[in-house]
Amino acid sequence: MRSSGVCPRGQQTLRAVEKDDDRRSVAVSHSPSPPAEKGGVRENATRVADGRERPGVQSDEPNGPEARTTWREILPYGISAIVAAWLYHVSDGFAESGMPGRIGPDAWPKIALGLMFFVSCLGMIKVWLKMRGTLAPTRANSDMQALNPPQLYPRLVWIAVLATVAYVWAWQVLGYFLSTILYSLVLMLIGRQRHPVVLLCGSVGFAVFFLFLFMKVVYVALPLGERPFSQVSLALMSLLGIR
Amino acid sequence: MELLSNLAVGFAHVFQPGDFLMLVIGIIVGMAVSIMPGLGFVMGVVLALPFTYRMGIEPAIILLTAIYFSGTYGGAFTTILYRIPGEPSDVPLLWDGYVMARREGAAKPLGWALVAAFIGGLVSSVVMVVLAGPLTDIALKFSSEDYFAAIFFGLTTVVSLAGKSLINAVISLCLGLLIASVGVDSTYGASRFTFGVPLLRDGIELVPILVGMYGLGEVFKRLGQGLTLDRSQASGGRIKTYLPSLREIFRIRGAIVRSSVIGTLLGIVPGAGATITSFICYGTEKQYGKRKEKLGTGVPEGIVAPQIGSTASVAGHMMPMLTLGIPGSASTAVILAAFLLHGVQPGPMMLTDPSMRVVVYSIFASMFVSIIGMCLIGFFWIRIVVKVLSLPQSVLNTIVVLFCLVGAYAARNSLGDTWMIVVFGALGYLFEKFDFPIAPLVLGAILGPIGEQNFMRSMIVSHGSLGAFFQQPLSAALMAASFISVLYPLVKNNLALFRRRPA
Repeated sequence: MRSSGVCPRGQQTLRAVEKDDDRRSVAVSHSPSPPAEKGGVRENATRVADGRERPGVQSDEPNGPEARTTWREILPYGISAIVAAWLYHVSDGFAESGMPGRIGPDAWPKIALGLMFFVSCLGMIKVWLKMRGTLAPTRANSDMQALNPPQLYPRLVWIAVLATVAYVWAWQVLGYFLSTILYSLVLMLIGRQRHPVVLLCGSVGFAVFFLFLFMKVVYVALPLGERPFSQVSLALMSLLGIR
Repeated sequence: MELLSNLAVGFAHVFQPGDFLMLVIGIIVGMAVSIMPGLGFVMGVVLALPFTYRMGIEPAIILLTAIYFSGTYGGAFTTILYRIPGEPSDVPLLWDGYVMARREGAAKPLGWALVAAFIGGLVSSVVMVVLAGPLTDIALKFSSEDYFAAIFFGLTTVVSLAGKSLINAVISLCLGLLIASVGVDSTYGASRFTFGVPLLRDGIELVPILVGMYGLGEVFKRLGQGLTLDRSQASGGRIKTYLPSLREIFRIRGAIVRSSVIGTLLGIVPGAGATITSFICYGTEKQYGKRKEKLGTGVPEGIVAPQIGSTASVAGHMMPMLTLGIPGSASTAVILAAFLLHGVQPGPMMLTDPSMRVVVYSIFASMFVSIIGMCLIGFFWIRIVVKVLSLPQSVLNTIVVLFCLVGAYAARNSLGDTWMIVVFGALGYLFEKFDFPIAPLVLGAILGPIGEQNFMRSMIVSHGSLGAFFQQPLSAALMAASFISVLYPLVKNNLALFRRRPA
């Protein structure tokens, strides 16, 4: 968070960071990887691995990191503007349910959509101005940056999302217990846990714990799955005294 | 006198076994989640939300409030001990708390943090209890225009205070309002944005939104960051708390009074969360404190000011949520969602209804007990609580995700809710990745329906005239304040950016 005059200590830190960033941006352009930043949280030295550009780094390539960063910044505004326009068109159909001469059920969504479209266009203009160099990029406070390090493994995230989708789908087939064992294993592996005892005990332990907690204590009927997997769930339930 | 007798009834309720158990669990959970960097008390409140379905409303709110309160204090431990802020609001504690810990050992700064949390929480709770009645009397006279203006003010201040980019915050808010409009419209009964999908006909439930965005989205973000905890910066010494003497506390009375006032008042402003309050209290001390030149060198004022600010903001946020139904922060938005899940709309009617008045005063009483409880646990059992840091991050992430998914399912035994939470989890990750703040979306989703209701009512009565919102003094003042809260930072930031135009 940037302080706005009410946090002098923060401003001092900010000025130091600005000077630091200027020195570091020169260092980045001449060295393979930037120095790791202290802050109580250890970060991977290859911070630019995800393609994020540090402020001030110049590139002459048309498809270089800076151009990719700009398109990446425009993308959410572009998508938001397109979605807003489309939904605005969809909401025209809501007016039929209203009363003539009176504000209809389409009014509120249209206000939100109109504002969203307008602001998205503003966002695209702002990115374009930044690309042209009319606006200076914003700097971040180093203490707050330590709380929110960059995304170094974006592919792992999407693997986790896909695994979660598969997990929820598997509830109906494998049942909660078996699918939770598999999912816990996968998620801990994605989180770079490699100790086999932790993996095995963790995955089985979590499945048993949650099954017991939700079925026996909270009385929630979790999915048992289809045959033959449901037999495993039923056997475990009778072992745990769950009816 | 009526206030005291209501409060006494509240205390009697809090010490009943069910309520007291929830309070103790809430304090421990709040401290544990706020000690873990990347989790935080918002996630703690969010994770507990699905469990509150099966409870009565009183223990449910007591649990969530206790998590919220103790969460503002728990993060101080890792900040002072390991230089790892548990929450963004703990960052100012690094500047003096950690420095003092390196110089004198951790016991003294931990003691100062405890005293500050106690004072901040107590003062703001007293103010809240005293002001709740008068605020309710004012709110009972609200017309639909006034109510809409109050909600509009709440949403605009959240937008103007959330994150670095006003544009991103507005887009986030608009998305929240749109999500809230999915389903059947309450005025005309029209189906909106359902696209023929039966799941969407009933609208989108709050639990998947909250749990998905704050819970699952946060875990996905942390997976992408590949964090490991670095404890090489430990301040050293035994993990214990040493309380300052009364004379030492009296010596910094100025800082205590300033921060208590600022923390409580700022807490009432929607969007001014614990983080902003903490920074502002520290900044104020840096500008006006008696020993301002020594701040940053490990002085007690540097610990007390931000800690009082963040703990005092809790009661401040609870006040508009309970009396007006307008949450002031993400955590109070979740607590408001808990009320709605139990079929109760927070607002001025709560204090006029005798059965709900007991619940409200039980919540007030639980806040006082929470403050004392968290200080006791922080003093005696901190070494045990800090043990949560030894859990591997991969294991912790898995536990959080499993809680999120099964918690969402448990609400209505509906797989549809679980799918929703996955969708919002992915959306929450994208929001974090592209620097879109989540709080405006959440508040938009929660306040959207009531905002729309009051807006439509006003527009129908005034035959479509927007001037209706500017005719009454209160609504006109709130609308003006709303526009100022949005336009002021916009103009200021853009002027500053253009002045810094590179050569």
